[in-house]
Amino acid sequence: MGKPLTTILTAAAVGILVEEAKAMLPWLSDRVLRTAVRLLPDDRKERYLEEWASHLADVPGPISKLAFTLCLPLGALRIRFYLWRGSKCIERTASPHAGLYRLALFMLIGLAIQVRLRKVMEWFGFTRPRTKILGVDYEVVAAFVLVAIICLCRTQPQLSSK
Amino acid sequence: MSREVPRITEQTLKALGALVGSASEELSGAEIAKKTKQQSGTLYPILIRLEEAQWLESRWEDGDPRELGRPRRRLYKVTALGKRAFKDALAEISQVLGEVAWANL
Repeated sequence: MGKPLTTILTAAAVGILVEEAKAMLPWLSDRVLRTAVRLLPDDRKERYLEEWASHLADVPGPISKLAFTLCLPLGALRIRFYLWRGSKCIERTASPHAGLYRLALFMLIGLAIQVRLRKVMEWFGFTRPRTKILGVDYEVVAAFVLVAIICLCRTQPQLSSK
Repeated sequence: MSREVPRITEQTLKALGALVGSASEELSGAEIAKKTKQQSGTLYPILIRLEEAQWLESRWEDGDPRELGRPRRRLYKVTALGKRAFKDALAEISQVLGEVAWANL
């Protein structure tokens, strides 16, 4: 008696859940599309919102629509990276200090990683004496110097990415 | 603004080929995706690269979205520069394939 009732209830619950999921698919597709558009540079958002919405309208079926929109965030990031890289290429050719700028940036990132690692090591109980320059931790001095280099190198003419 | 010359990849060739070989001069993103079987995440970055390199040009379809009852499509068209680049790429591939074929005879 109990087993058929459980089967019927499970089937009914699954049916309701499937219907709910189906009803949510268009809403979800729309949300994903809008999230993807938000990843784009400001000057491209309006165009791609309309263009991708029209593409979405041409895709048949709610599952295919969702599959289409799920690929959009990656596309948006690729577009953003392409536009950013394009502007950086122009900037690079315009800036004589670009190599130094990038080197300083990488060193700063390396320093941040090192400081983070040291904190983790300290947390696990591994400690070692800190290197000091004029009584200040060397990381602080190095970070200050690197930020100064980055700031000096950044005062180059910035060209539009458009 | 014109950017660097796009890298000719298989996907780029497919997208360009769909536009060059199409009976109608202009195709929407959805039509190109259907012809090339490319995902949106791959296709649109390619289209923007080609557009920035002036191999493609695009425009909004005529009509008001309220009258059309849907958002307007963006229509892409290959330029003379794009057609030339496509032909050059095909010629280069054919040459390489020919050389490989001769070497394996």
